Amino acid sequence: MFKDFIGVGVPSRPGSRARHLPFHPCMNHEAHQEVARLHLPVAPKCNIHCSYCQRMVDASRMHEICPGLSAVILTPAEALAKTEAFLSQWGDGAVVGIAGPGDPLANEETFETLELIRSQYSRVTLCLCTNGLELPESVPALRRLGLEHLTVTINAVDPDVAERIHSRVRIKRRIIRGIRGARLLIQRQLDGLTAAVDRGMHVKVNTVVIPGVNEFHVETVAREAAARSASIFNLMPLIPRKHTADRSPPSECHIKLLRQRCKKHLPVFDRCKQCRADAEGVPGRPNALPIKREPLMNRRRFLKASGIAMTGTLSAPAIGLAADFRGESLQLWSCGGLAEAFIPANKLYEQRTGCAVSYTGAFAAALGKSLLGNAQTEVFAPRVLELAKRLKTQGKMLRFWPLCFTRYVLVTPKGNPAGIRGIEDLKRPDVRTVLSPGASPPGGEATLGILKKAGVLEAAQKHAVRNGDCVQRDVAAIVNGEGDVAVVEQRITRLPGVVNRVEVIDIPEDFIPGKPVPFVIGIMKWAKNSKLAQDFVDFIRSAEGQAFFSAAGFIPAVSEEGRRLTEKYGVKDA
Amino acid sequence: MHWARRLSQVFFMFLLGEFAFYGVFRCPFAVPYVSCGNCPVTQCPGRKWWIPIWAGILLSGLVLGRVFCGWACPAGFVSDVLGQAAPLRRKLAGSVDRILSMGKYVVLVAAVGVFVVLSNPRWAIPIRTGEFFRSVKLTFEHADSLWIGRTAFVLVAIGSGVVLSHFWCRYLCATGGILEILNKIAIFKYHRTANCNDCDECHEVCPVETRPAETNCNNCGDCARVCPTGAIKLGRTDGASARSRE
Repeated sequence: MFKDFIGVGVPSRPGSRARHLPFHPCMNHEAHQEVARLHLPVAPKCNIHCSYCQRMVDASRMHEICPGLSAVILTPAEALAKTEAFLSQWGDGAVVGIAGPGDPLANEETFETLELIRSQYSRVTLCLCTNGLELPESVPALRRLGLEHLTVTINAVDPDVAERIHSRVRIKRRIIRGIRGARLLIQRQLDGLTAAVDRGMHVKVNTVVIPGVNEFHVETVAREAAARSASIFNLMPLIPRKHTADRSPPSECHIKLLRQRCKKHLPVFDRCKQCRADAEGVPGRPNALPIKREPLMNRRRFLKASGIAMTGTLSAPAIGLAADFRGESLQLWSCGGLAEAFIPANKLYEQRTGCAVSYTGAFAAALGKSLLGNAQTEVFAPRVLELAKRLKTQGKMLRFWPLCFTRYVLVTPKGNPAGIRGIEDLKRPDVRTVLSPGASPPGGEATLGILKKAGVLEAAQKHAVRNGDCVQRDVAAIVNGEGDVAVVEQRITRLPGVVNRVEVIDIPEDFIPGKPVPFVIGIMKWAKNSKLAQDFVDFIRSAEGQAFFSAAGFIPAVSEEGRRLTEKYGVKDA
Repeated sequence: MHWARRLSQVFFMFLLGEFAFYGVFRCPFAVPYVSCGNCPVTQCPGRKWWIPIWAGILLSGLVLGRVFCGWACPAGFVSDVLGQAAPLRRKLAGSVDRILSMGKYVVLVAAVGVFVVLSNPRWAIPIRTGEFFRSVKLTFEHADSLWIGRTAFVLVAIGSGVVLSHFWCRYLCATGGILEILNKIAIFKYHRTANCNDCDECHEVCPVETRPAETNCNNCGDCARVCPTGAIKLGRTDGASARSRE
């Protein structure tokens, strides 16, 4: 029933115009009771000063409810992990937004996070709230990310009033104080509002009602917002903090009166709970206070839903009740390609359990050779199924599970200048290819095999502008436009210096060689504490752990696609 | 030994020591420290810092010649410590020293050659991330014999500092070669003024067995305090007088 977010009418009430509002929990009274939302606290920095705001990242203030507050700051990858867990709990109809604790548009991480989430969930509703200072320039980028809902906080449209609330603004590293800053802020807020509406976004305008400062100005703000076709207006009674700590909040009846007045101009939202920057759940329900950890039931429900074998997994403690392995350590070895996923995942696991993960990531064949010799480790995550099977035959690996799969793709420079649509275009004489015949196994030989199977190897070799021996260097030749196309693992396109600087095109699965595709994770016989090793493996294979792998460009084994590939490649421990 | 120089060496050991260590023991490339831009060893501080570090070294070279060698280089520091025990100090004839000193240009040319012609191949399997010493062990375990060869060469040469003070720095260090060239055009350096009476006290105390503004002088300044005539000065060189002394 939540499939169609747009076009559900707000309940008609006296005074409100017949107007369609999106089914968003912060814009629609019905949705407010039903749709879950997640605020990702990825944006700590702010670019304006607000007299009422006291930004704070403090885990000990979980009971306070006020914008600008968060228990933690998440990195984009952590935010994606959080999102995966959240959506598996609430379903794809839930809304994922960024609301601070600073101004989202003043933080690069906001865009990285939205992009990461969009790359995994093409249909989830994303939203954002901002003070509007950076909005005019950000609208195109936000629209590209498929963002349809936006909240802009405009406390005044008169610089004299705004100056009393916002004593300074910072734009392009310059601080502008007083009336000039206030004037600039208002101009950019209104320009941004117009730009967003023009691009088809639903915009809510928030106004913080501060008695003695802007209480008689609120209706003017509403009128200006309505003139620029904002969808809905929201009055937020002041929560006295910081420079407004000695002021009293507006009375309830005063707010009611102001709402009545504003309703003459545009619909007014009157359920706002003034959520924290790390809020999650359904705002209209009492349990919507900030919840830090998933309750046991939901994770189980998810595991069941994703059809993972319940054995072993159920014994895993839920994340909320993470087992305590303080003072213990776990030695993990993995194929080096997984390092970008394991490093942040291990960090999160260490925070959760207190266990120290000592991690080595390097070429799997080398590590495997050491392990087949007399090296030891407790958990090993290799590429190539045969290696796991051999270690198992030797009795060195006790059990293993599918972990993730790599995906080979075509990369082109940004904008795809050669207009490549698929692998068959590598035949074209005008296409300058970049090959890496000398690169180590998952790069060199496998990629040439793909070209051969697709019947384009000869042409591709003929038009190669580079025959390198290092995938990282060769992909740099794509980034800087030296070549038009190369075959690489998708994980390479997520590396720093490459991510967002190339275009990615799929390669039909028929051409992909099976051998380097699957990764497994196994417990070795040297595991000191088998309960700890099992708990770690369970964490890595949980929705939360797997999110790091999907962020690093792999297909997680627990995803639908991953389960299909598990079957296809026979990734079974037997 | 002047305390300020020791302090500086300790400070830079703290700053550059890890990068230096990675270059010798874990860098998969034939020529270390110069392919950091696309190196898969995620743990190495060089991935972030190699450009500023090199910029700093080269800039210091233009201003103060080989000052990096004596005041900051971790290998120079190690050589200083080893050199305290060197039994063969001052045993080489000037002509032998001069010929051996050309060795660093040979190493430099070889390094540049491998970098440019062979585009700096990887001779070891990069241990992308891992525990400090276990990763070194794994690197050695899986490295190409060429890599073992170059690493052994460096370690043996630095170790030879026990026998012949600063053997590596004086005769084989490629960075030393670059800085030696810059030293010739450096703005400031220690040099001998006309007061010099060739007593060779400076040569006596010099860790690299040279005299101010001569080959291998790294502007450490240790000699300035022992000169009986006060002829050793730091500053813009009086080219003519310095040359007339040689």
